[in-house]
Amino acid sequence: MSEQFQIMRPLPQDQANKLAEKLDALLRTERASLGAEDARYLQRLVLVQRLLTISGRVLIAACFFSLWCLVPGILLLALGKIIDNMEIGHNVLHGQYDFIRHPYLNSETFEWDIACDAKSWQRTHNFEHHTYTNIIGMDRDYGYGLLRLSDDYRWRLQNSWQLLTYVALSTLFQWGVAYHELAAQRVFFGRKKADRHSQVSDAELKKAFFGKATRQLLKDYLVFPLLCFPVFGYVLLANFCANILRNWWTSTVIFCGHFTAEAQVFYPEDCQNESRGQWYYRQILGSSNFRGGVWLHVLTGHLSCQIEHHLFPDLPAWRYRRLAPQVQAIANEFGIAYNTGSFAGQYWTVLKRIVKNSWPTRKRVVQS
Amino acid sequence: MLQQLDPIASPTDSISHQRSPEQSVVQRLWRACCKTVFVQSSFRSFIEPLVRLISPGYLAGFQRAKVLMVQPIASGYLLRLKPHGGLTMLPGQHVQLRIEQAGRFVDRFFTIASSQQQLQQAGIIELAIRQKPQGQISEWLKGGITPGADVWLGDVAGQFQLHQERPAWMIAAGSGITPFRSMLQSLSRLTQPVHLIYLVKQADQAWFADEWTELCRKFPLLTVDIWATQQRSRPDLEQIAQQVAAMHADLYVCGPNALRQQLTQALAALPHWQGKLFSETFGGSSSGDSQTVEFISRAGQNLQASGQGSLLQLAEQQGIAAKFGCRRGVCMQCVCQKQHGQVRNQLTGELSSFGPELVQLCVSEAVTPVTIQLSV
Repeated sequence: MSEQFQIMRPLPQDQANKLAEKLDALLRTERASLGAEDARYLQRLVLVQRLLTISGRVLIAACFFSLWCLVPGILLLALGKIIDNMEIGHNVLHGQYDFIRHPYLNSETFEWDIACDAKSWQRTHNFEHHTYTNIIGMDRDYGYGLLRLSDDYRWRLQNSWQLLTYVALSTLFQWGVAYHELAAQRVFFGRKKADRHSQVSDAELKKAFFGKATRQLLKDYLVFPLLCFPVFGYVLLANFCANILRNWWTSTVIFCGHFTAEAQVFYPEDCQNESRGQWYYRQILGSSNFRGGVWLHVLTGHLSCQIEHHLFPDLPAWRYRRLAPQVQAIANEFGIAYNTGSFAGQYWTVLKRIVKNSWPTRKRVVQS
Repeated sequence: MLQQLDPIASPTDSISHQRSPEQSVVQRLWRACCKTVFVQSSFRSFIEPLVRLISPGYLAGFQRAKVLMVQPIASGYLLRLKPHGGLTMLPGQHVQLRIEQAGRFVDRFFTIASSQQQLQQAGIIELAIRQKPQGQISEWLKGGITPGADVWLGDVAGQFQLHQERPAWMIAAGSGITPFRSMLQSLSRLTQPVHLIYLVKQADQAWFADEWTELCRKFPLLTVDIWATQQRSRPDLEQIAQQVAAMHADLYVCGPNALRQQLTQALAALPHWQGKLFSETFGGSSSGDSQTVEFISRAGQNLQASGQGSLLQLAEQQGIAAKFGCRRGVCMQCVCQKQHGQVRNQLTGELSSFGPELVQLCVSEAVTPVTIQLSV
């Protein structure tokens, strides 16, 4: 029917080994050059984030003097939150900068300014999503259990209005993520998968969820508004807007990572005992990039280079930009589709995919 | 009476260094406040990037120090530092040294080798550092670190101190001489006899050789015996123990763990001895394939495991609960703080440093004895 209904078969083993060899060589070169440049980049980034956040909050408080301060304040605070979430938080929690042995910018202790607790996110995102990327039924990030993005999933009535569901999810994205990463269906409703065993008790998961959620709500909607008491309402509103802006941005970027028209899906039976090369192959096909200036890459936390991120999740992200042409060349050499385009173009295909899968479709025939 | 001082600190190797888990209500509230308002574990980590804008060398929780001099000494270096702020120390204590090398922070603990007076009067401390093959600090020192460079000093700690009210025997092995140099140089007068045995392989490897003669001239009650084990036989520890007991002296030991164990045994056979044993030990063996790994749980329990395989496998074989996820080095859920020891990354074959750093349990195997602080 259309390009999205093509099922991907695993790469033959000899090809996969050659692919793994090439990509591993690339990874080794990058690993060997880790050093002061990465440390400087991270320090600079954190400084920019602090300056944006503080100036944003000061401007918002300055609504006491002039309401003209409100919008710039919101924008600066939102930018600060975006950088904290994407280029710092996401990447630090992937352990990309652990080699520095920084006392607080490391994957074990870092915490970010969103509703989702960092440890819960690591559990589901780093593990389930990065290991089982785009495998039907195993990658819970595929549609987040809310959206039907491929006809491998059964159509349900709720899928008819899934464009609206998507807009709502996007607006409340941080809460969606917090709920989703907690694997809430399992924790709150006892829907557990037989083959998955959690090492963390439900009580601990709930404590982490409610603890972080309470702290975030207190901070943005009580403590900071109270600190600027005369303009309590404005501060509350501004924080709310900054959070929504950040939610829209992160959700848009993240949806462009795996849900574009040509991002492929896989069947679990094809991914059993897969080799490193086949895993690499699946990561390339299941992810999609978009092009843009340096500022766009930084604001997306380099998820604009989703393919490189999925191949090398623990390399400092700013290197992905430089690696992309080399990865593309390797992909071309093996005849593997390298999915990239403009930000708007890729996003448009995501929207189309959400709409297209709102209608019941016939189960596709697997091509061999 | 035998007394072992814990935690055992080492002058040349890294040690576990934990802050006390007990916090006052105010501290706990303040921490909760920082976690909520700044989304940071401490206010300092929120403010640090901004302070670095004004003072580029600032690191929260550390004191900046300038390198004044690096002087080669027998198979090692003497590092002279000038801390920027007010550092305080007691002779015999150790300090955390942090350097930045190729963007990475390297932390090690060293006993301060210089006297209290030198710090109070000239604001200077000295660290004597033995060269280690592939040691990161050694490489850094060898790489021609120039005077004027910045390093950082963390907490000064340790309970290895001289008690002057009783006669003392001191036994130092190799770089274990550093606390004794600090203790003896800090003395203004000596009222009880002190006998120092300094074990070295060869006589020319003794550190601070001319200082010992000068100290002996200054304090008639002090005797220093530089004992070259390759020229003379190894000292008879039982005989030493008998002499210590006969003098009712305290015994101070700084050297390998085995040395302390042997002396402890020798002294245990002498029930009439009234003195105390103070010790600082370091090092373990690093040979053989199977290494002992010590896991410290969050509750402070120590659990031992040994064998081959990844640290995660070792822990699981012993029934030690450790967090894990992908088991292939991707998801970072099993990342734990290694306190000391060397590990090899099974994926890359890369060897870690010896000091504190984060490691992935699922793809790391122990090369030397290792201590791991578990996150559960």
